[in-house]
Amino acid sequence: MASFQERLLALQRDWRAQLPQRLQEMRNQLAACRAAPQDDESLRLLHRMLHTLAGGAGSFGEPELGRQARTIEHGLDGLLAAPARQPRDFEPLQQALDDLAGRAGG
Amino acid sequence: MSGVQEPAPLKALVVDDDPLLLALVVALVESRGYRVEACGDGEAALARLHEGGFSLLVTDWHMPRMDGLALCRAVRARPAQAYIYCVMLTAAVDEAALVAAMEAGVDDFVAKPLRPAELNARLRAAERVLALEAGLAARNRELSEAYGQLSRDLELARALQQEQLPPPRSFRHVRLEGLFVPSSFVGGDLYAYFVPGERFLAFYLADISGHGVASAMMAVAAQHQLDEVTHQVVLAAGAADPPGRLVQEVVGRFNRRFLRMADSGFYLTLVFGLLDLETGRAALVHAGHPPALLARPGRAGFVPLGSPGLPVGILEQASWEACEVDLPGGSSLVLYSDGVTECEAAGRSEAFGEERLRRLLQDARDRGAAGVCGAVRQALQAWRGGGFQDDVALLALEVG
Repeated sequence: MASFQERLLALQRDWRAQLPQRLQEMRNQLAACRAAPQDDESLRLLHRMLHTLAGGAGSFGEPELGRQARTIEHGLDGLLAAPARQPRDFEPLQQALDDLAGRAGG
Repeated sequence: MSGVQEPAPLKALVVDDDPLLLALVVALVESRGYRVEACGDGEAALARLHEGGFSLLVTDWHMPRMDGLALCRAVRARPAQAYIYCVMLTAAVDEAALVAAMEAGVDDFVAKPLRPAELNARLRAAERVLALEAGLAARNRELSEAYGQLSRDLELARALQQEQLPPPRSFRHVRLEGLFVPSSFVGGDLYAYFVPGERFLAFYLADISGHGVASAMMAVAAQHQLDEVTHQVVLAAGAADPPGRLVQEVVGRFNRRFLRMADSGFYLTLVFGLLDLETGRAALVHAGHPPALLARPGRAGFVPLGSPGLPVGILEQASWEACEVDLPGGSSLVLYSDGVTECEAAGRSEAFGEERLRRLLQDARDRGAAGVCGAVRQALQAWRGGGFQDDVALLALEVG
């Protein structure tokens, strides 16, 4: 049976390995939000994705990535509360997500 | 090889909708020696928890369908046999949110990102609480078993005490019946009637100080002594001996014997009587007890007899006055304990009182000894509306 440290290292590897796919899924979800800016459910799903990334990144040895994801997540709070949204409202979010992906190497 | 078995590892359930984070937390909790199961959502976790056996729940907060808060709330709403310690994984720093979580039943929080050292420290705290809870549960089980045994023993004692009471009985033209309701399972009041020889009917009602088991056991010992002394005095009596002298002799000897019994601080109050079955002449001694009540044929109302004296068990050299009275046919004599007259009404501090008792006895007089006892029991139960604070005892003697 693998030691505790071995298990941790294996989980970290797995997490990093699936990071590019997560980031792509977030980009796809952001595109869906820009296409239907009034769709709250779509926006909440993106919020959830960022929340999960923020919570997991630091636990798997990527604290800075986690802080960035958390910042973007909090930015989404404002969008969710906005009475009306336009596609251009998502441009800062697009930029932030691209920066995040660049940091993650994705 | 040691015969001591290691306790089984505690069982934990970890819940997170992120599979990798779930695997991480599982690994961390397993590293502390727990048997760990994992669930990917709150609803599956709740169903698993209801199957039982878990001591620890570590759950993420934000999950779809059922989040960690709702899960903890549901766990607390249906108490398990043993306590489940709930730890919430969260990045929340909002005080209101944390307070809401604790009020929902969360015991502790582990911040995200996870730090193994912090999780270990929180789990050690959880283990201290769970050990306390397990100790408390074990102690409660012991107490419950002991209480159950004690209740069974007391119920048996209650039944035995009731069986020892003399049944309603007639001695020639005299009918006697008694009433005894202990304030607890058993009590320290007692009454008796018997014929020690052929001439006299002996009867008495006594009240041992205190309540409960100790008083009841003292009552048994006292009754044995009093009955023995009564037989000794009456059987040794001459034909001309007046009942008044005999009752004084009985109570005097009984008092000295009682004082030589175990030094327990008990005393008792007593009305002791002898009725000459040939002549209808009765003599009574009151030893600190409420006065016997007498109703004569052709006259309305019950009147108190005798003069108060010291209770038994106070002074070795105490003596008592005897009250002699004729009991022709149609007479009714009632002895009672202070539990009757001092019985407080439900919801207010009003005692039943001697006046109310005398009116009740007068109304029930035509129904004989059984009717008197039944009327008093019914009236007191209606008056009190529940259990009695003090033992209730009454002895009714009806001369036919």
